[in-house]
Amino acid sequence: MLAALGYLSLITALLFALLGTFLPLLSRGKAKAELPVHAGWPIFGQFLFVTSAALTLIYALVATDFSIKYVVFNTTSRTSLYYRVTGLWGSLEGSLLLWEWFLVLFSALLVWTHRDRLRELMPYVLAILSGVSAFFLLLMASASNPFERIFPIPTDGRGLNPLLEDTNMMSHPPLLYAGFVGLTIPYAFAMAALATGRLNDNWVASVRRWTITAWFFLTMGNLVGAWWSYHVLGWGGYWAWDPVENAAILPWLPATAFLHSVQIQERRGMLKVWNLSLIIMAFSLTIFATFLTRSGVLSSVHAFSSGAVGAYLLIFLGIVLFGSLALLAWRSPLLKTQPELDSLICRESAFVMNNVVFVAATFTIFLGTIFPILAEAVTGVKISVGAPYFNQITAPLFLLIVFLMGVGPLIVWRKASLDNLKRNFLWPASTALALGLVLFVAGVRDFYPLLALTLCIFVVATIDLDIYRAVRARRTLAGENILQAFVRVFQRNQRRYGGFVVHLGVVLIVMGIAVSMSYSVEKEAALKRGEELKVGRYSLLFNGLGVSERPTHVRVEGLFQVFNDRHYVGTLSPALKFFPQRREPISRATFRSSLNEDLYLVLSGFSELEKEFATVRLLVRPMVSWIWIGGAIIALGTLIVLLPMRDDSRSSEQ
Amino acid sequence: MSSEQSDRRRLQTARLRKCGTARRKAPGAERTLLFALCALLYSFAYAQAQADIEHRVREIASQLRCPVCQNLSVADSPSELAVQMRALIRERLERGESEAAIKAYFISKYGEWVLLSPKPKGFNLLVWVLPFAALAAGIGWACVRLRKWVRRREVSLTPELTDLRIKEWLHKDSKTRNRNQERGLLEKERVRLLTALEELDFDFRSGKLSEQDYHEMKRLYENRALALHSSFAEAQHKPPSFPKRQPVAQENRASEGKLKKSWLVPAAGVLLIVFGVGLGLLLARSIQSGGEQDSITGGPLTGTQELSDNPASLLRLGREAYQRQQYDQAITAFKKVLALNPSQPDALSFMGLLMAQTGHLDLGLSYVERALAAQPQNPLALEIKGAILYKGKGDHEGAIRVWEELLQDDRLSKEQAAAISQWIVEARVAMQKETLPPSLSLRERARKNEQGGIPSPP
Repeated sequence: MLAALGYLSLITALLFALLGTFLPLLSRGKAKAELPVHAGWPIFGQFLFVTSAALTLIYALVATDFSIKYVVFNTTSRTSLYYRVTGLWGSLEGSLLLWEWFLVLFSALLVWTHRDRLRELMPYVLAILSGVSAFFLLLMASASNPFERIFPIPTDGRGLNPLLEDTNMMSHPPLLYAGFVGLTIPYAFAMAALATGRLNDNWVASVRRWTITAWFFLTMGNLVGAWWSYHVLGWGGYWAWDPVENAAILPWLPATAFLHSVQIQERRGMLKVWNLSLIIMAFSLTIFATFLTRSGVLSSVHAFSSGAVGAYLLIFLGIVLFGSLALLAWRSPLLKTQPELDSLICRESAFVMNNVVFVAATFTIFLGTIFPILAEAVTGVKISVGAPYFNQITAPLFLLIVFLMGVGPLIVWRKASLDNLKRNFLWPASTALALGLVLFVAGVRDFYPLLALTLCIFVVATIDLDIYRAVRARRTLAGENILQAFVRVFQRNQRRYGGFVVHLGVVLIVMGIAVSMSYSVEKEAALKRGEELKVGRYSLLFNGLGVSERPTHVRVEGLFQVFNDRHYVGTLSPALKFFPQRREPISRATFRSSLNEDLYLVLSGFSELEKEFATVRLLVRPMVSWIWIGGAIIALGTLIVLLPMRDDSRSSEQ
Repeated sequence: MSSEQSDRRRLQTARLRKCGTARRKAPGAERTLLFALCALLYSFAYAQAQADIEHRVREIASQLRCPVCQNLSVADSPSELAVQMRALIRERLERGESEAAIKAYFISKYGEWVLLSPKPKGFNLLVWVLPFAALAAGIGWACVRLRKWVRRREVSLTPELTDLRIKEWLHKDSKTRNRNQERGLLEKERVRLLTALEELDFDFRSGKLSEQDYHEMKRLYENRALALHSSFAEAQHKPPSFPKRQPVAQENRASEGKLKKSWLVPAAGVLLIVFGVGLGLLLARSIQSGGEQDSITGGPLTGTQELSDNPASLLRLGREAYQRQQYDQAITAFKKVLALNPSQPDALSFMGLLMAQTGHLDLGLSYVERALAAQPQNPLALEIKGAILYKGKGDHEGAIRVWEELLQDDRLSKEQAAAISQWIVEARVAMQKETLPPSLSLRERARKNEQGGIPSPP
């Protein structure tokens, strides 16, 4: 009954999507004035029916209707309500449904916000969005139906993959999907503009806003994923260069590059083809990421069960790539601008360099991710390309980006003379060098962390200097006090100063990563009850094991009292969780976080016979919490960029 | 441990030698002092050596892939195999083996695949070289383009803008939206110029721009504003047409563009097709070589696969799917076997097990009975029947009887027989106590919690 209802909703939504895709083509040349109004209806229709399908699946999960295969594989009668609901994106079919749900939700929002803007372009934008949506609905209607029935009907379900039973299940996947799906909208604008030949810059402001939003979701999704990996997977790291992690970072890179280079387009009307290519690249990479996760081509912690969707996604990717690039090539004469620069040394050049490095990083990570497949096809030997490779190759690229991040604020738009540049560089560079020297003396001797920290100080110095100068200029200009001037500076140029706040967040993340990767201390030991383990300034007293039964699993906990050099810190109880579905237990790490270091404890084993012995891994990782703080600051910066704060309506953007 | 001792011994002899030379020179209190110093040095060196070994173990382990995990290094993996591998690395390091030798050992055991970063040799060299080549090419290309863009600009400057009317026009609000395409474009240009001037002003005031630069740029933009104003005025009097600046540029480009386009589009098309075909072929090849030929899940790309009509291979596929816990696929395979031969005992037994595991105990039992009817002594059927009786029905006596019958069979391997006798013992104990024996270890108790609790066949 539920299955039929859900499937019917999907089919109806598919009909609406097909209608929405072909409507603008059919009504070409006819009553154009009414077209925008009509084009919105198929989107709302899809939204209505996809919502109904999603709610049906959620209801089936909550009510444990085991006649639906998806429910059997993603919930049990013992699962709590929270994980029943999150079961919606627990595996392949449901996650596609969530994806589609976001897509139609965003499309509906777009119809609403643009109800009387860009009237000529919108029908085509909506047609492209409907086309993408039709593809995903087709996928669900044929190859991966979330409402497939199962026979014989089991008395209980098999339940969610135990690794997914975590509070972050509510945040990480939806954020990441929102980011991925959000990138569809800039793509739809770009394609609509190319297809209609309306290549003026009217739509760029809309695209920029949507890209920032999608970028924000992607960033947060990745950071929450890192946090999840840090506290659940029990290996003490936050980024493993897993193929799927790479896939999630891949669209982020061109999106970031676009957010920078679009500013040149807005100022000077140049780099149009380049920006369109970045949008196409970002969207194609989201599809590529989906293909990578769902086709089982590569092994990964995130791998979904494989199915026919791989072929569909690959074909879709081919159509997207070929179609968009062909369209771009066809329209390229219209897009030709005559780019001019007033000087070689200007912020425009710095941004172009930033773009080059970002694209190089995209290429590198892409190559590394697919290289095992290529190598096996060519040489026949299975190889791995993993964390050591990526760390080694991308570190210089990312440090180059950090350096450019510092250079940006120092150079003005359009033109900077060398003399001027020297003047601007002097203070930040000397501050960075001096503090770098202090760090060297204090014991930071390794090349990469030292370089990274020095560059980070440089970036902070340039940003501070810029804000200080701006505040000073405002004070002399408008006679405001410091606080007023500070607020006004942010208000008058939200994008610029919000961007700086985002950069500060990125700096914190870079510092956290550089230090925690290089200066972690680790120790593994088998402890007897009452025995102590010393690492750094911490000592750990083992107080025995405890067993507790949870609804879905049995948990064996080790009880440890932690002391630092001065006093008792607290009790940590890392656990091993035994799930009936899995042979290997899942470890639940516990840690104590502080601003300068995290104490991270993993129970890696215990003796079978008596409760007296346990093997633990203890890590002291410095500055990991800076990464999470950096994430919060990025969120703040994005809000500054996006929230309407200006009181005067005149602006360079519409 | 043994090498730890040898380490200690080595250090001890070193210490004795050191103290010996000291003794000859320093008598009395100094000797005690030196002794203490030596002891300190010794303990320090010992700790240092231990830490060094740990550090090196971690360094090597972080470059090896944990074979049973998904994309974790041996250093990071919490799995038991990784713990053993780390111990092995430590042992070999203490034996004095070099890092390269240890890596070579693991490569010989697991293949190239175990290295997390591929050796820069042969084809794999590409993955090391291409990124930097791409970066260098990108930067070079960007430099060339930037230089070209700068050169294009010709400066012809007139004195600073003084016409107040034009200034006013430049600074007016742009609240009204322009429907006219031409005027819209010009309006955009005006806003752009205004922003440029404002930014210039602000940058100059905040001390980022030298005075000379400021005046030069200001004049440049004001000149452009002047030119724009005149074309704006023209546009106001003319019926809407293409903007004035555009057609000139367009014509210029048209010929150039056509020339370029004529080879650019086919070239891009060919490149794309080659790329697509190449990727498709490579993917298909690597997947074929990677996966087993008869995978029940089918190719990762198609997901579907024509199940062969050969009962033996179907049975194997079903078993494999069962072991992977892909029960629905197992059921499909076994059903197909039964369609070909309705009394195939192995398929019937597995169907029974699957039904029992999904909670349909009676249906499961009936399948097993059918299997036994087809072949009374089938070991698999007996084993499963016992399991269903024991775990599902709680009929310990019946289970023991079935298993004892099974033990009569001499086709059983030693391990199988041992496992079954252990189950019998377990069932007997359970029969006596009807509760979980407290002596069982934690892990055992955890495992007891398994759903359905039906043990899988070996």
